[in-house]
Amino acid sequence: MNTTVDLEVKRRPLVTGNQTFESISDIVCKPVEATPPKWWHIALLGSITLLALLMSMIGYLVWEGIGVWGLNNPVGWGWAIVNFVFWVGIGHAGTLISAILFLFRQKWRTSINRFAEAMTVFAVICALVFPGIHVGRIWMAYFMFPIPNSMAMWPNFRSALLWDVFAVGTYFTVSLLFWYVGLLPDLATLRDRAKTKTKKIVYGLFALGWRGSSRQWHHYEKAYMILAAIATPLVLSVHSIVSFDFATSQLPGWHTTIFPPYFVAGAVFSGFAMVLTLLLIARQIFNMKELVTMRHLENMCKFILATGMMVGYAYAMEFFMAWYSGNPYEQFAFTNRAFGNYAWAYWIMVSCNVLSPQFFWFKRFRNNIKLMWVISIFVNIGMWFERFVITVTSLSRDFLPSSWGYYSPTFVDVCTFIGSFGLFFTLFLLFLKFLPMVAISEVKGVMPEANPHHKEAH
Amino acid sequence: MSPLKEFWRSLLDTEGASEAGSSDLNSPVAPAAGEFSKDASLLSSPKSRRSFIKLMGASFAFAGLTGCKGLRKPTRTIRPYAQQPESLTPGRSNYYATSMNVGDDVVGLLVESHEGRPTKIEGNPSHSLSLGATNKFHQASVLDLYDPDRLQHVTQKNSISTIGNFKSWIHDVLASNRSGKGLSILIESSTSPTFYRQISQIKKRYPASTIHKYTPVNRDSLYEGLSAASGQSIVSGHAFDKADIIVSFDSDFLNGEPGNVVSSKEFSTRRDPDSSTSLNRLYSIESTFTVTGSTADHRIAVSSGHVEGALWIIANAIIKKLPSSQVSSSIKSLVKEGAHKYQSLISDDIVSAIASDLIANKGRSILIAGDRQPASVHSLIYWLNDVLKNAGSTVMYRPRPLRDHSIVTDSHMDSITNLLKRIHKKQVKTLVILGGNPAFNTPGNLQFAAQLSTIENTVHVTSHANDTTALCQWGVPRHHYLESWSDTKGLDGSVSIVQPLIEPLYEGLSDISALSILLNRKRSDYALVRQTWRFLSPGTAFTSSWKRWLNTGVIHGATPANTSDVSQVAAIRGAVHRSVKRAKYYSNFIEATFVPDDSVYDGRWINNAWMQECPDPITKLTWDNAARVSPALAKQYHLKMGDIIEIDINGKKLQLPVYLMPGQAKQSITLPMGYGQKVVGRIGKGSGFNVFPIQNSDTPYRVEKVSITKTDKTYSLATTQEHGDMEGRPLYRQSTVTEYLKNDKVFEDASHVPLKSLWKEKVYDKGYQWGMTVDLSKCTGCNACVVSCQSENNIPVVGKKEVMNGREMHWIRLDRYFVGADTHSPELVTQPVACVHCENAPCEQVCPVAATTHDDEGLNGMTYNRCIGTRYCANNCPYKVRRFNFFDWNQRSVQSEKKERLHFFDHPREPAKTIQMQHNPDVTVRMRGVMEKCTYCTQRISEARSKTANEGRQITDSDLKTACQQVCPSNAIVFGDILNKDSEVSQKRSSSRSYAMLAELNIKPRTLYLGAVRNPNPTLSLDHNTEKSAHEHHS
Repeated sequence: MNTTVDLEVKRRPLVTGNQTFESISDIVCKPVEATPPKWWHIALLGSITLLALLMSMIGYLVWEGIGVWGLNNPVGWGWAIVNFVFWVGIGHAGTLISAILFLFRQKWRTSINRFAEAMTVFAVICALVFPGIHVGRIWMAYFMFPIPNSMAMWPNFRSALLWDVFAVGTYFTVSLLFWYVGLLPDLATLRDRAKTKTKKIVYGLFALGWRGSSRQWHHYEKAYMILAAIATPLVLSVHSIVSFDFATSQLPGWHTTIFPPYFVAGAVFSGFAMVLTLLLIARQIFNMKELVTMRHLENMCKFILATGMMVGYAYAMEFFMAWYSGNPYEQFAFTNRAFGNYAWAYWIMVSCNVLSPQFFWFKRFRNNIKLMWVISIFVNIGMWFERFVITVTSLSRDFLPSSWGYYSPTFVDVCTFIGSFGLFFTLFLLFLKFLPMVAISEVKGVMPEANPHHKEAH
Repeated sequence: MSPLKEFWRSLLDTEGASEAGSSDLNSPVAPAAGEFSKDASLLSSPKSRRSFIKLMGASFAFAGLTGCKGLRKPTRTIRPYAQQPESLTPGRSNYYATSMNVGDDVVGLLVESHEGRPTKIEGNPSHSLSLGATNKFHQASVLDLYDPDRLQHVTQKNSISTIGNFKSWIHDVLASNRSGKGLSILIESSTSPTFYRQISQIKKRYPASTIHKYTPVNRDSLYEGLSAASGQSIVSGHAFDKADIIVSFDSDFLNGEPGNVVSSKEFSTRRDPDSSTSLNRLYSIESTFTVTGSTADHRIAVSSGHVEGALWIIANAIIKKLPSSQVSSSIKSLVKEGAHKYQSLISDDIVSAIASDLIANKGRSILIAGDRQPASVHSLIYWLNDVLKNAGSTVMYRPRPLRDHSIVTDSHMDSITNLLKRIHKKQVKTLVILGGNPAFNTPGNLQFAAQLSTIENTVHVTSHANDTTALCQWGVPRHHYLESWSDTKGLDGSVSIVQPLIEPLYEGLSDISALSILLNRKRSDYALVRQTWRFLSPGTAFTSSWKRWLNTGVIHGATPANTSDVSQVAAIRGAVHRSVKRAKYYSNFIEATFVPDDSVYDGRWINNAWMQECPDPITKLTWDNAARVSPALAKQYHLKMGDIIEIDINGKKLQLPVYLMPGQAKQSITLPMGYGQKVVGRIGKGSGFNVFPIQNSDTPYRVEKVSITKTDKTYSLATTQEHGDMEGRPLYRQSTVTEYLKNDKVFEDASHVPLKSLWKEKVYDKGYQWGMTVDLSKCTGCNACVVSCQSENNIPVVGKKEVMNGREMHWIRLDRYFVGADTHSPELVTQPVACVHCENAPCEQVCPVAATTHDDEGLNGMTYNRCIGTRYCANNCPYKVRRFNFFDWNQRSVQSEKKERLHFFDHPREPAKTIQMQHNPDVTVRMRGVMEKCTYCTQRISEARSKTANEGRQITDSDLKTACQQVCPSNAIVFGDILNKDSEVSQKRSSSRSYAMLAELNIKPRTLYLGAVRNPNPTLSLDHNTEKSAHEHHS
């Protein structure tokens, strides 16, 4: 043995199974190029049905008025806002996985980042539906935007709802750009592999003339890094600002400084859970166990555990602060959360978000695909309930007991929420069919073959 | 500032320049430019050929768009008057005096008229029974005028006919029968001298005819008791402003009973601890919570049938303490006997406290009994008021109005029973019913409806087709009081004219003209009313007197003197004797009492949407009635709110839901009347349960030996407030007068942290700064403000289902809380809450489109056009006073009608044309999707501002009253300029009782509350307010 040189500690490989550049391209491009399987058609039909449900519910809402929802006088915000925050939260993991992990050179991200980014974009689209339709006069919703007008009437810049418009709008734009820029080399790959003229033209159009020259790669890498750098603070800001909708009001249970970090942690938590839910299915269906390895899954479980603990800490802190503040309204709001007439929602939230991730302390469970999937579903449910608990419980019982009331959703509330999954999955299924769900170029970049000195050691 | 500058500024102010912005006189701008604010840019750019062509091009393009007819609303032309009526300025309202009666209760009114449409009712300050206030019914009466469900045509056997047909028919009927044999007329309580003059004419013309009357809520027993005790036909009046001690025996004199408006006015003058007069003390002994009971300093809940026992006990205690020379020994022994029978009914402490209070305040106290208490109670009260020297000082007896007409002094129940006897004997061939609804609201044992259908000719003159109309051959629309001439005589003898404000909307008859038709006379109602009063001002002076009367709404010189009271001890003794002998302590029986509903009264407001949606002041129930049961009884029968029970009274059964009423006498069930009508308009349809079938004509207000069984069924009740516990929060603050005098800081809440703002706050120290105070000591919770606000501000009604969804729209609501741990004898407090116009308003900060903003006068304004309906403001409002238009309530109202012409993307329905006529043109009718709330009646502020600006002076208190303030019979609400030291509101604000609700949020509300000061007897602790646990004792 040569003792004159340090032995290079070998990292665990990120891609397993003796893949070559060509086989990677083949694996990833296969679903795009092949005729979609039967399940895809069935799933798309189902999703489009739900999408139609969403559209009809929105049509009904616009025609009849907000009264078709279950809202009432103390509870002015219900499922629409809950769904909005829920979807925005889900839209967090994508950019986080992509941008932050990219900046930290976490190369394991490459096989899941495309997937996660797509999820972000679609989730934010779903989220954006709700603030749009939840206003009383939808046809006047453009008043929210600072459009110059003859009355010199501007929106109210003090309102957190307005910040929200900007924050979510910016986040969506940057996420979309980030995703699209990352797609460019792969779109070119698809263009080059395309067998029909239409495909060639369409992919060619979207590939923006990518030829893979060194100069283009140079620009691309720069652009990608800049976008990653812009997107990273946005991940933190967008949900902080969403939380301001609540935190800047004076309602007990909303008026809390803990909200920004708590919401961001919650968003990452729910985002990772949703990525996990979808990825586990896709991995199985598309047989990509060699790209999305157990290591990836385990890392995600650890993230879920960590963020779940943060969320749990926030729940505990809220109670501590309520007690410590000595503010009777605040104290009541939290007692009411845990023991009032919405206690059922609170305890669903706690068991899903705090208790269920505790399994991930053990490697055994972190390697159990089925359990992982079940827990990810629980987290999704729990995080929806977290927003429900915050929004509805606080509103239903605030300062004057004379105004207290109970909110229950109507079928329109429920169908709109279910329908939003239709929108999400329709977009997602179309993504699976028409775009490479794993970043081909980036996966190739983390393979040993991509190292210029790859063969030198031998 | 130099005086000259000051002078010029003022002049410009009067020309409206100040409203256009600050105009600087030193600036070179010509005075004419002052028309525009200096910031407004004038159209000064020169017209170029290019801009002309641009403009024309655009004009042509848009002209082309006008071809798309479907997109455009139809053209409506507004035509000016060809001849402008005198004193009518379009856009400016006029007020006319009139008056209205509900039963015997007369209140003088001023009615606001917009271009010939009466829109809003106010009290007439010159009328002795209004003093400027009204109650909720008067407020709601204007909606009845425009009710699209009114009977709109003469109907014969349910098919449309004409008034001409009716006239010729009735004349044929009467022509064959000169003496009037077989003719009977059934009337409601009327207070009109002209009407009774006509009745006398009828008696003269048709000597064999009979006149009958019936109103389910009447004062038969009061009049019987008083006439037994005095030998005269008299009525009592009370000077609540002079009484130091008031003991109410089942009387709701502040809300339900005749004279409640003026009673509240007078009573409230003695509930202000900051005024020079001392506080009065009110004891209330009643079976179910009433507004009066909730205002009382001590309330004792006993069954309605035991109230008489409580009276004996208290009377006995009084007699014991009085020198025996003052009391007749014959009554003494009877009272003692009665007291003995009920000896453990109420605690001795409270009895001796009441007795000592009454004796210590001889001549300055009032004992008053409710109309539904038996005559013997009223006789004994008459006697006691005499013994205590109250008669003549605080209790006045006046001749009963119109007592010369025998029909007036007849008892309602006797009168209707006589009619039924005649019908039964087939002595009635033709029955003319003027108003009312006897087929519905007569006691079930009388079987009126069945009898009615046996009569050959029946006529019902009625505002709405109801159960009675359906059984009558003819239905004739009855004019609303705002459509007809009449007159009224109030309980104090004051007389006022009923002046119409609008031509009758539908062909029909007034009560007076209906009688004219029977008499076959052609004189108009107007001429008849004038003729009635000509004697007061004979000759040529009449015309000017008449004008004056019309103008003030009161006929001067018609009020009679008080009668001297003559106690007929023997008669009183007789009445009490019979009562005492009959008396038994019904500890094991459950009683049921029949009370007029607070919203629909005896059923007459059943189709009035405002009244239906007006939450009951005690139960907060809307759109329904329910049997009120005590929590103790509910526990015994395992009843929950909304469970349907079956009530069995001697085999007559009724199923209705229960409402669990804290403070209800344990063994007493209260059944509000008036609901459950079968033939009724769209508003009243399906609301509530009819309790009349189990009512008995012998004891119409109360039955004993009621048995109840729980059924499996439940019923959804719509209440506007589900939670009655204040959760220990300092929202409604009250104290006792002793504590308050000791420590005037008692209403301060120092528990919160010092208030500091993060940013520099705007200072409101110039111009008018509006503010309001609500005196919780005075507020009784009578609901007048709620309906008044609804009427003034075009507030829609949402219907039962939406009330259950929590979407009621009232801008002012009355929060009701129960105080005290015991559900049997809690206190009930009421706090009016509307937008408090926070200076540092949380709603304004969160609105993303700046639709709710503050103006310079401290109003928290809503710009409906700008609002997109995020509801963020409502979420952030700690008082939850903002109301969201979840739907277009006007279009979705059950009374709405199909639009004449549909437009693209437009709702197919719109409010009924007549309902639109009620709308106040000064207030925007809101569409769906926008937020709304109390504006401090900003339209009234604007009106006052322009009026006083024209007169070159500042707004003072007398120029401006908000709708809630104006109507308040207790003067609890005060509004005005808080910077003006002389304004009443700034004086009230400086009271040490004033506090801001939720002040700890540092939102600086402009509406302040004045803490309630109660005046309990210092010898009693408050938990004595209970029927001594007598039931356990006896059972």
